[in-house]
Amino acid sequence: MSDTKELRNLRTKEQLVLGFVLLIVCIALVGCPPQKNQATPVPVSVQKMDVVVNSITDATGISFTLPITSQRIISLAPAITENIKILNAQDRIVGRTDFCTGISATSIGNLLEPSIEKMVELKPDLVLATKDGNRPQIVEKLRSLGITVFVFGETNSWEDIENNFRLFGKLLGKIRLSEEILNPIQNELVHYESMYKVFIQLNVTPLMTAGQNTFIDEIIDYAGGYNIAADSILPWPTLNVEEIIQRNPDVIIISDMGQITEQAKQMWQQERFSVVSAVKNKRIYVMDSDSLCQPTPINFIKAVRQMREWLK
Amino acid sequence: MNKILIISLLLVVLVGVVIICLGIGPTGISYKYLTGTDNDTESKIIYEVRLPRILGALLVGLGLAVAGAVLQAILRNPLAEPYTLGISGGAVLGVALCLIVPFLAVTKFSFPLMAFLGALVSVIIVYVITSRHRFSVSSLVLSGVILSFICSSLVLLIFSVSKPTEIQSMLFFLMGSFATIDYPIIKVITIPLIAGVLTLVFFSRDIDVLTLGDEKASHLGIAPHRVRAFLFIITSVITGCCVAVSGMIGFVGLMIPHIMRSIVGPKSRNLFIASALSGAIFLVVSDTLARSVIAPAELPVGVITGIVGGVFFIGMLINAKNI
Amino acid sequence: MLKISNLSSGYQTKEVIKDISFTVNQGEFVGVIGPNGSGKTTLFRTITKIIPGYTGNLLYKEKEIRDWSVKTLAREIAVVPQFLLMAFPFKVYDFVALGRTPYLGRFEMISGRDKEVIKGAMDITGCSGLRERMVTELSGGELQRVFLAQALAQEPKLLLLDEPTSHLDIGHQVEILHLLKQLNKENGLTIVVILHDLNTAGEYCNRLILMEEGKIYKSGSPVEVLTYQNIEAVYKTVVVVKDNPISGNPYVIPVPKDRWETNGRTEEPEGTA
Repeated sequence: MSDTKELRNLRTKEQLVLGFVLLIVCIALVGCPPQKNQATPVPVSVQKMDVVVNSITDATGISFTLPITSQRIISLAPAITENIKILNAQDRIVGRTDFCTGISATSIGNLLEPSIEKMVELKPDLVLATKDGNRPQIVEKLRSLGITVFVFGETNSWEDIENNFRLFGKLLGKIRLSEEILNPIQNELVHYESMYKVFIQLNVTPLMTAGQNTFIDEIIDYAGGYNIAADSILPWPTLNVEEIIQRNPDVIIISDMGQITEQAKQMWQQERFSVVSAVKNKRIYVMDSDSLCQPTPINFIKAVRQMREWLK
Repeated sequence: MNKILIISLLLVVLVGVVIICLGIGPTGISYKYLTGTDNDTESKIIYEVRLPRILGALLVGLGLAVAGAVLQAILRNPLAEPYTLGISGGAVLGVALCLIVPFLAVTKFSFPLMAFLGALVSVIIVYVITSRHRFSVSSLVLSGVILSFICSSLVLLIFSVSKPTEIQSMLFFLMGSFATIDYPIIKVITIPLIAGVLTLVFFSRDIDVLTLGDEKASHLGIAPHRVRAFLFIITSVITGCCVAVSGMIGFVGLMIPHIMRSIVGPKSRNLFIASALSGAIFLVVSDTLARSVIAPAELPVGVITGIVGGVFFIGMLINAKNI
Repeated sequence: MLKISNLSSGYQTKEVIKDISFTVNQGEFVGVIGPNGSGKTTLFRTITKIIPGYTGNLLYKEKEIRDWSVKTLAREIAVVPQFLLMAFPFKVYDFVALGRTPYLGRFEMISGRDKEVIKGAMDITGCSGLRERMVTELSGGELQRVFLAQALAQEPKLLLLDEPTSHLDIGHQVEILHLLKQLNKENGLTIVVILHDLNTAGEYCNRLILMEEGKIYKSGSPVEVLTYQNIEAVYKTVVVVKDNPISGNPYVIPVPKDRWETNGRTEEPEGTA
């Protein structure tokens, strides 16, 4: 049948064209090799205090030779700004996000969509970013423009916070100061026996809490509490109301979320929660959210101390 | 001839817009670059930050507008747009998979590549399903819509086990942005995109004939199902390229052809060229607004196209005569 | 031109045309009549390859339809439909110009010759004044002329029309049919038209094919086909056939059902309930 033959021939033709188009696309994609990760050249300027020739690696696997110039810093996350403030180097910050408080540097936008243009204009010698707060594409774009970017890894534990803080020390040339700050904190972080079951609430809808593998979980641990969500595989699980009632926390800590905190407090007054030990004994506390959201050594120990008070 | 005048005008406006927008940004408005600038920072901003964005917006605006015009014609529905046939669902799912499968997110090309692959898989699925129904219009639309639903459900599933920051990151992709665009990816998509658009322009007559119905198209010597299948693939490639570059930017593919149709008429050849040019203009301007309006913060460009586009559209609707 | 023998065709679920045979010679003006569902439109669809398969012989210019490609067939046969899906408001000129599609490759633009053909088609059908109007704004009569113009732009040797006048008022009906008659006589265009109105068929066609349930009941000149016996047998209704006082062609007068007995018929026609 000439008809179907024609149809088959034309189908083959169309398939050929399709194949050709796909081929072009694939060649184009493959033919553009991903740019090799270039090690960013760093001037060997000598800092006043610590002259230790060293190299550190950031969370994207790039190594930086120390000491590193860090006189014009852009901070891409409030947590970073806080850490710098602790090391008393905030006057070196020339650019910050909208959410960083307490310093007078120019704002370059928010964490997810900072203005690349503005950052270029500020002529930074070091941009600090976080792995989980900033998009990798922003980091890539900045690097492709020849800007030095150091990416901090996730802070899932006290050890992470500690290590990151040491990296700050190295980057800012304040290694000794960083050790001086850390030492007493380390001494204070003695392990307490877990006496009470704690539920820490980070949001109302969804009813989010911190699971294992988060630094919040460790705060609870160091404070002598037992995180009732510790067995969750997800780091930020939404707990089922049933589960909460059944696990019967002794202490409930609400992270201060502004207006939502009132909503949270009222939620616990609902009938179904009246059997929960924390509600019965009125052991519901509100904790300043900064300590829980900006992982710095100071915030960490502050949170631990506060929680130890409540868990007495 | 009226049409030639309009198209020439659009071309001139496009060139003008590019030149003007190169000088606008959160760090200020200046046209010193036109006479050459020896300020290193400024030149870097213009040529490494703004120019790639403008080129990207030009290409994506062009591609989405033509893809939308073609789909509206072959689906015989002025409300169709490039994402109707489920491609977007696949692209979004592809990118979402980057969030939960760690090794996928390794290279800088990860997001665009996964977006494109996701779109490709959607296209293949829809193609296979609709080939059994001779690529009829209703089978195309149905399978596209269903695939979109399935994909968005899977994406929501991924969201529910992701970190809040990851979710935010994905949302920005969903809303579309040119903030981090680079020359390499522009180079990659330029050829398939332009080739695709030119092909569609060459198929103008076929497309016009298709709007008369399958039976009439046959009577005029065109095999409707074959042509529809081919056009579907080409528009999908174009849309896939656009989504890979800048995420999902809505409204351009729906609105621009719609507006252009009332200006230059439904004849495909004129419509495609006019849509391509105005799509490019619109998106370049939108992106310029996105990076300047609430500086130093950036808005996702999809927000601008949605709001500005939507308002414009409502205005048109209110004044429309034949509804 | 068109030689059909033992043709059977239909749809997946049903065979509609059952073993029909007839010929259409060049220059004829043939009318296809018959009750709803008798297979007239299916016949057209088979000839134009809309229905992909058939059994028997269906030859156009000595070649089986299945061996013709859709594109080359479109240069020979044009179809004027009753209604068309018009999703977008094309200008009449652009709409008619689409009739040149079978002759134009993808990379070709409309040439001077094409423009001449389009103009000619529009002139003949009286559409020249409608050039810049939008097809979605036309009245029924105007639209039918535009459809015809588009078909004529294909420069067909055989023109098929599917009930071109069923929805038109009497003035437009006469206009279109007169036009067709002229095209047939003066331009030698072979025409096959499906008609509902038996009188129109009798008046304008020089041959009629009366179909019933997928078969040809009777074929021949209007006088031969339009007899009250044939019509009553096929349409199951009583009629009186007289001569049109002006033209002499047969004229069919339907008889209201409550008058069937008084009209001299004592028994009802075969097959009535």
